[in-house]
Amino acid sequence: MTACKRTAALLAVAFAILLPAAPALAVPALAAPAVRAAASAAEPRPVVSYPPGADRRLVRVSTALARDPLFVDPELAFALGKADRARLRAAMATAGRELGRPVFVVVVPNPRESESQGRNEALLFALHDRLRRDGFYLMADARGSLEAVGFNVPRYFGYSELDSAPDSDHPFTGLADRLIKRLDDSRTATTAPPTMPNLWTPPDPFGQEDRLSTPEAELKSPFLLGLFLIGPLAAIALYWAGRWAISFRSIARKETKGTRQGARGAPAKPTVRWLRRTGAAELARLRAMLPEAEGDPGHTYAASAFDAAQILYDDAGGDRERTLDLVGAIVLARQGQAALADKDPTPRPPCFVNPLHGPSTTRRVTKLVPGQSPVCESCDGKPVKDLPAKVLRVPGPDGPRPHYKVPGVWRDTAFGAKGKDFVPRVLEYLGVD
Amino acid sequence: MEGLAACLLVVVCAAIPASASPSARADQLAALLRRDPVYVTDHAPRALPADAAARVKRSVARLGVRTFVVVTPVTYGEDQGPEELISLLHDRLDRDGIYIVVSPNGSGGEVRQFGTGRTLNADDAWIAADLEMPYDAGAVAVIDRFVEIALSGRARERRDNLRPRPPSRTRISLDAHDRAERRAEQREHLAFGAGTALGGVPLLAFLIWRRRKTTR
Repeated sequence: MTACKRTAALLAVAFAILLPAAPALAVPALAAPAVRAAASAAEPRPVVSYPPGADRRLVRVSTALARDPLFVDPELAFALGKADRARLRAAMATAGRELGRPVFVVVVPNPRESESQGRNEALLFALHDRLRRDGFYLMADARGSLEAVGFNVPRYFGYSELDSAPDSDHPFTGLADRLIKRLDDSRTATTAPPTMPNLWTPPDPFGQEDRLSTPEAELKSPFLLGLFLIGPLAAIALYWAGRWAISFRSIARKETKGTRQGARGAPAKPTVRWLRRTGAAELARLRAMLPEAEGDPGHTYAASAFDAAQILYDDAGGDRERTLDLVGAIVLARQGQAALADKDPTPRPPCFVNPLHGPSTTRRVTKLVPGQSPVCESCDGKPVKDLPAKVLRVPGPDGPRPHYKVPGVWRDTAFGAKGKDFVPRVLEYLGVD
Repeated sequence: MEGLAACLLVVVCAAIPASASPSARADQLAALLRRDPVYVTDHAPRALPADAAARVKRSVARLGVRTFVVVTPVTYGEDQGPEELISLLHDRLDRDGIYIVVSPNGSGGEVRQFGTGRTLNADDAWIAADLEMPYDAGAVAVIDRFVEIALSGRARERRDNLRPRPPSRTRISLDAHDRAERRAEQREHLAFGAGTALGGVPLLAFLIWRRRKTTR
């Protein structure tokens, strides 16, 4: 198994192990700020304690209720007239008889600044605690809202539509009727075994009405999520992005740059522009070297190579079909330079894999053509299977093809590797004697 | 305390109105104010201290003008607000002076001065006091500030150039909560970044090292 497949398999196994634990690695989410939680169910009737003097009105109201089960606070005395109160008392008496329990009605304002924090239910529980008498407690507050709690009353109490005042601008119109109706409804409500109800939301302690729970940072799950999931994925993504970017850049570089000599700078699919530029540069260099090398043994070869290269260069022009001729021109120009520089009348043939690589250094089996071929140092060091990728390819009728497949003088002479009359044959091909 | 409460109860029970109406309420309050010009409700112990009545009395005594104060949590609908109540009280009591009606937490109050006594520009002073105090300051604090502004004689200027309003307790608590939430969020992001770096960087290094090994 290759290294790549091994890594993939490892990751797959890791995921298989982690997936059952995925629900625990929740996406980082802050816990919603929770208002202070109510008392737990283990304490069904929490006793709310008040600062000294804060329960003045509880004392006042409960004392009054002990004497008279109907209590209307002086602040709301205008809400129920004499006749209304008389009717209300009659309804309370009837209800009391039917339920078999005392009935208390309280009409009192209950603002948010009260000791019950504006919660009517909490107020009734507090009154019941002080009065210490079970029964049916009904109250109306300054907004005209009703609230009913039954302490050990054999009825089931739920939500009643009467509980909200029908007209918020005139909350006390028909208050007596609503209270009486509520009492009648409670008599005819579903019977249930008498129970002591629970106060699930007791008022906040004094001074802590605005307290919010401190949000806690949950660090473990985002850390583990990053460690096991996002980190590895990001690493893999970055790695492949990097490889793609590097290959992109090197392809781009190969197409535009190619002025360096040697295997590193010689493209396998040269463009005509590159060949023209390189050819011009090589010819110019050879032209500069020629006049000073009169006595050089390689001068003869260099001069004829220069002629052939120059004619080839001009003749081929910018024709894509004659790419190989431009390659030949470059090879000849370089050979001329080598002949002069090394004082060698028979310079070495170029690398067979890609003649643009430069002069060959040795011969070896390339498996491209039968037998041994000259190769440059760089191609010599490569394994055989890597060579086909480096072969010079020129445009042909069916697409790019290796240079040794193109029929003509270049193949026949193998760029000078076969035979000893490379330049004459080129000149012959050009039609020059 | 209980005896006093019972006493008050007896006095007020005698005044059960024949029918329900706002003027009945004014009658009742007027009766109470005749005996004590400062009436402070006991329905709001979270906003009013136990000695609120005494403190308000001391405060308005500085005004030098007869002042009637009603601190009550009962606010009506649109057509029966504090202004109507002040008018009715003035009718019933038939006394000049400054009338103040305010809710226990200090907001939604009204003031009017009747008569030709020492004019204190009570209207502007009250507006300035109302807007300078946080909305949950409490009636005692607002009345204190009102008295201070009225006595300064520059009520109009104070009203036009209000001092910055301090935030209410709720606002302070919410802001602190927001800050804490942001801090917690930052810490969570930090943890996430640390985990990602810890999980990703070694793997990336390993992949690069592997690649270099095979291409050399």
